[in-house]
Amino acid sequence: MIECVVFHSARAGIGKSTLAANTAALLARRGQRVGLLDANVQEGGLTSFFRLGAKAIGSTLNDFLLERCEGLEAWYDVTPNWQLAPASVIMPQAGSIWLMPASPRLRDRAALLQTGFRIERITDDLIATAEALQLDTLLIDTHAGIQEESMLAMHSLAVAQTLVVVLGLDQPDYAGTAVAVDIAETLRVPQIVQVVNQISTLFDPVRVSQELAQTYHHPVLALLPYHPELAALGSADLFVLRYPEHAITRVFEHLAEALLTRVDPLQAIEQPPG
Amino acid sequence: MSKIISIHSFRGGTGKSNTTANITALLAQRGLRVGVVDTDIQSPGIHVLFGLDEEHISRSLNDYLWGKCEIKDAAMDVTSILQQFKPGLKGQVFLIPSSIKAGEIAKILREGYDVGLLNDGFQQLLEDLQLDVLMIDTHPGLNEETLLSIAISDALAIIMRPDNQDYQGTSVTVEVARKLEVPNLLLVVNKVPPVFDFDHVQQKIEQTYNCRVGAILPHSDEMMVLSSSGIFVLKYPDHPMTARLERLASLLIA
Repeated sequence: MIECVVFHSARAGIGKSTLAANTAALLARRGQRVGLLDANVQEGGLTSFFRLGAKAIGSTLNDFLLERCEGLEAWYDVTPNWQLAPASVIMPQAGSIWLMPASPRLRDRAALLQTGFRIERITDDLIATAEALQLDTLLIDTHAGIQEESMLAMHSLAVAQTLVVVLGLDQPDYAGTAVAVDIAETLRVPQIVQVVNQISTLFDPVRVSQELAQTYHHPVLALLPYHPELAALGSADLFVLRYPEHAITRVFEHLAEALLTRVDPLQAIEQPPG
Repeated sequence: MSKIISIHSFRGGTGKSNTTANITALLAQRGLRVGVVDTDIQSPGIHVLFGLDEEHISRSLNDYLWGKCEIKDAAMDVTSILQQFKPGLKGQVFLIPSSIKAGEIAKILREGYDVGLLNDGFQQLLEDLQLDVLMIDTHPGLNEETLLSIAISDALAIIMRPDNQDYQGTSVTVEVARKLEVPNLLLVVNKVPPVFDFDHVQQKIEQTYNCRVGAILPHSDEMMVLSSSGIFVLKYPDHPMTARLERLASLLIA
């Protein structure tokens, strides 16, 4: 059975896509066949992490939802060239990454808003294409917030085993996060975890994770500080492959590990690197 | 002569509302009467920066769009809130919030509204409140209300981050703004990692988009902490970031 993980955040720009793309790389490195779905059909940008140019993109998630294509042709093999990665990164049985991008074309985005789609497309039909691709894990990156564009995210929760809520620490996050968690609980998503990103060094990480765990009754899996090296990459590459020994990479690895094994994350809250 | 200034970005998370609120505060400090409309009906947020929550907001832009009130009745005078940070602030600030009630957001998304009313409302506000400047905080992307606010703006700042995910959408937005003949079009590069060479970033962006860069704003820890619950330029008047925002404010009302 495919393990399906949804990444959601209440606000945009918190690092949801960065987290999804790097998690995909870490899981693939361990030998998995990983699918990455860019369900942010209005502003999706996952292609930039894999240097998949707009011109190389034919069928997309938009076409799939609009039933203009069957699905397999919308998946692109974006497996990193493991030979180019630092030696320490390569595992003996490195796997692959498959990306279904959102359309970079405004016309396709508008078409989706105008005509809409059958909900089964994002649940049953999508899982069927993932099975046809023999994926081990499907990671779904979504549009932030709870609004018109995020409905896709909410529907995808129906097939998810895990919801990763990515949050910053400002006020609007709290309200938006509560709504997403509520929906996931109602849909009985088996595992709900929180990842706090871009936290200021001015916050006390231990207190932050305790407070968040108490507020939402779900574990905080990782706390990631704002890191200029990660920001400087500008979403142009996979941080965890470029900097395999970096402290941030270790936090990403911890997260990937937890998603794979579903260890009780409460026992192992990862502190931000000092 | 009053001016309409729109702050926009193609993607979310670029710091649009934050920039809007800070420019507003800076203009008010110069003694101007400034109105701020939150046209991000789907995901309103700027009210938080002015320290407001649900219980403070009795009327909203939604009520005006539904014909329940005049737009000026939805305007809240938030000057005293800014004065708490900055006693003696000369100008005046009015906020026209979008509704933050989930039911009302759902209703307006479901039923839609006459976008033409927005334009009428903006003009009415300029007149009724005798505004020098009307600031429009938009919803990311290129929807109908965004196109309208771009089309009627005297100045438009398009905010982007130095991030590959932002590039394509930003260039589309710049093109649209050109077609709509916005008189004063500026790019703002926000959340620039401090390790970057800012002059180089500015040159490269100006070349790539063939558009003037109004400000390069570094990522700032203080800004992140304050992020959505206060107005940076009032709290940190001597910070280099404030000086950069001052220059941007001058360019926008020039």
